[in-house]
Amino acid sequence: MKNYFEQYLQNPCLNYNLAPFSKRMQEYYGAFIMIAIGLGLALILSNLQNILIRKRFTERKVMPYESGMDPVGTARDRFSIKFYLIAMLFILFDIEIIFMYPWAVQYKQLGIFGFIEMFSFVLILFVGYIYVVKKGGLDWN
Amino acid sequence: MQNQNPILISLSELKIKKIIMEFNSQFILDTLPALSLLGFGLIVMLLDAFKNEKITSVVTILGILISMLLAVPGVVIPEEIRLTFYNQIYTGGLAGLIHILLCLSGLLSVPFITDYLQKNNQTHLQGEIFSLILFSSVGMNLLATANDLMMTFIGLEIMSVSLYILAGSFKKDLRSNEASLKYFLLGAFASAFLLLGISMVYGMTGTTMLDRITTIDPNLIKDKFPVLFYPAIALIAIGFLFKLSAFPFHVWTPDVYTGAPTPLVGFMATGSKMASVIAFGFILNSLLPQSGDKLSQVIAILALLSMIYGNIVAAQQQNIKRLLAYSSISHTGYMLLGVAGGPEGYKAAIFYMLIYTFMTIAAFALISSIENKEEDLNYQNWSGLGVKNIAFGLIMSILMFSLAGFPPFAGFIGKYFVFLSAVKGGFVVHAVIGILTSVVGAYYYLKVLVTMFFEKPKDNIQPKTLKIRKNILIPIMVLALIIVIIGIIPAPISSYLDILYGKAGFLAKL
Amino acid sequence: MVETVLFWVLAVLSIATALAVITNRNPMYSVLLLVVNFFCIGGLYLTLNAEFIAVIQIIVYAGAIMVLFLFVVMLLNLGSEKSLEPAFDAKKGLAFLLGLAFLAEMLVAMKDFSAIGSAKETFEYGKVEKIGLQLMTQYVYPFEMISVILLVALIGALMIAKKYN
Repeated sequence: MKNYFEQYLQNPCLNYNLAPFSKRMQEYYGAFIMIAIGLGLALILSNLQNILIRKRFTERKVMPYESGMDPVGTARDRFSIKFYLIAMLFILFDIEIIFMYPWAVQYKQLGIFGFIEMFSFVLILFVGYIYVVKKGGLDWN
Repeated sequence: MQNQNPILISLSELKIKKIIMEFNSQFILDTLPALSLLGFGLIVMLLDAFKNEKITSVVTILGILISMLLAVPGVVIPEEIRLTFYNQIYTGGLAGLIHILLCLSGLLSVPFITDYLQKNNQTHLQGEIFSLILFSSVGMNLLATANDLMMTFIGLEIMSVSLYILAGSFKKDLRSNEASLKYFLLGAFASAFLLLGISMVYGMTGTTMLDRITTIDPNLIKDKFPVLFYPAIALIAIGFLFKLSAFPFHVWTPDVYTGAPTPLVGFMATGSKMASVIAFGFILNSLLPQSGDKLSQVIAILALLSMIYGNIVAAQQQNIKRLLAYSSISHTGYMLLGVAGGPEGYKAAIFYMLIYTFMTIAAFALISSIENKEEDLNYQNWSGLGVKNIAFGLIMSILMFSLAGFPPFAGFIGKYFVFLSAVKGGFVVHAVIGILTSVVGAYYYLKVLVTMFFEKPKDNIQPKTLKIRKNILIPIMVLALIIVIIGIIPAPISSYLDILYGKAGFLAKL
Repeated sequence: MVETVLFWVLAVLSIATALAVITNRNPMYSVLLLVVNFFCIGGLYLTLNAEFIAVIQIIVYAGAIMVLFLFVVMLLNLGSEKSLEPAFDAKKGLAFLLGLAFLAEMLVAMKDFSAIGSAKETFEYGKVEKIGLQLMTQYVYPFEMISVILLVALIGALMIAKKYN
């Protein structure tokens, strides 16, 4: 049984002729440090108070703040569907933009050919955009 | 960028220039049918956006006809099958005929959809439904003529997502929402399985192109297949068998066909199945070039189970749409028996799909003509309808006899070819059991006719609309006539299919 | 060494969060755990040298799609529900066993597996430039068709979300 799983414990990338991991990830060290600082800061800021203070909760202290008045009803109201539609349209056009990134970095090599292709791609989605605008999808009535 | 090999980069730049130079107008000419469908889809969208919905149905029919016309040169002048557009899709050979067959299901269902929307006061949906039908046809074309597995997946997704939305068009109808949700969730799962299979195939062979998968590495077949091949093919098969609604993956079919708007079910049931069965055949043939492999036996068993399950459960249904849904599972069984039966069988399966297209679209269109409320779909409420409304009775009898497989009609020809090729391929037991389940099929199809013709009409539960509306009477009659004609003289179509199939090159080695 | 540890941490974390997503009662917790899952998968892509895909995963999935999920969860206004069906019955047991059987089959099938052909030289192809070159020349037809699927999704979103008046 052990020899079945030995190969999973090794590093599979040794089969390929790759540069070592530390060298490949050198470009990302900055990003990793930023993620670590951001994560650490967020965790510290949100939880430092809870850690340091003794908690004594009364009913008055934990009520949600409503400018001095007593809160009426629950915090959850019916959400409007407009938000969903806007988020959906955002995703679609975001993916269009993502497809422009690989084209953009190789713009010179691809020349006029790549330009025409990207033009037709954007044209098809432009028809979609006209459709959305005319149908009132972006109206916030 | 420290570890980039400068030699490697400059080499690939030269290669890119070479690839760009390879591009010529032949590529555009080959893909013109699909691109014209796309263009007309955009035109219909713009018409809908600028509030000219009334002419969208005419524009749709025009678009599909123009697209079929553009594929006609490939059909009239048979040529060898070849790859095009940087080896992404096939053209020549059967590809033109496949495109025409796929467009046929869209074309035939458009008049019925227009009439149904008018009847239910939902004409504002026209623009969206027709543009989705056009885009779905683009997806079907990509799926059926794909060489690269990525093209297969993208075609499958375009087709499927359009169908998910079409199934849920009637927003106020709860059944329509249920149908769309179930279809979407289960379809997304099936696509996930398909992708996993494709990624495993890529990992084993290093390429996703079907014509090169088994030839790219000479060690691949000489020794034996790596064990991973079989799970990979099974996963890909799961993805396709879902779309075909074969036995263990049929669960979505009754709910979706019952819930979706009736003429749209005709489009959904026929076009997607035809594209899927063609793509499935291509992929199976490319991945397992030796015939008589274990996989065809597995497919034959699944076909058997589909036939048994579909026919037996359909016999207990009362809702006519649900009955037709379960019977379509059994039709899938017949088709898969054809696919399992070798190259002859593959031809028979495509022929059967063509006949099935005509029958199913006509059946669902006929049902949509008398559907006004939920109870109208229960065929036990149709007592005496065949006598009161002669046209309805006549056309319904033609369709029911054809679906059951009775001789003067087209269904018999299709079933005959399929069972013949199954027996030739060695699946005699499956064919015999298939014929027996077909007899069970005849039971429930004829029960509908018996209720229509031989029972006394009960006045309080009759469907209100006794006449078929004028708009759709003529198309339905044309379809019924086609079914009768194919049943009497199938020779022109089947021999034409033979000629084109002979040019299909590698596919004939299946 | 670092790579192996990182792979195992990310893999276990992604599977754990995926399981937690489907078993959690509170839908908001499920959504946030799914975000963690996507970050872990993005990390896995980084270890496989697919840098473009890793960044796209985080931008699109964890950025746009999870926002959509959060909107939907808030739209439906769900609280923490007690589950309405029994937690474990014969059907779920059978499904679990079949899943285990599939896992065992995969482990056996991949035992002596080594990628052949051009799958070996993939270390250069993760970068954006390479993907750009391939996408716009070799795979230009699928690329154009992706615009069609985005268009279909657009029509669907409008059909579902707009009232007709």
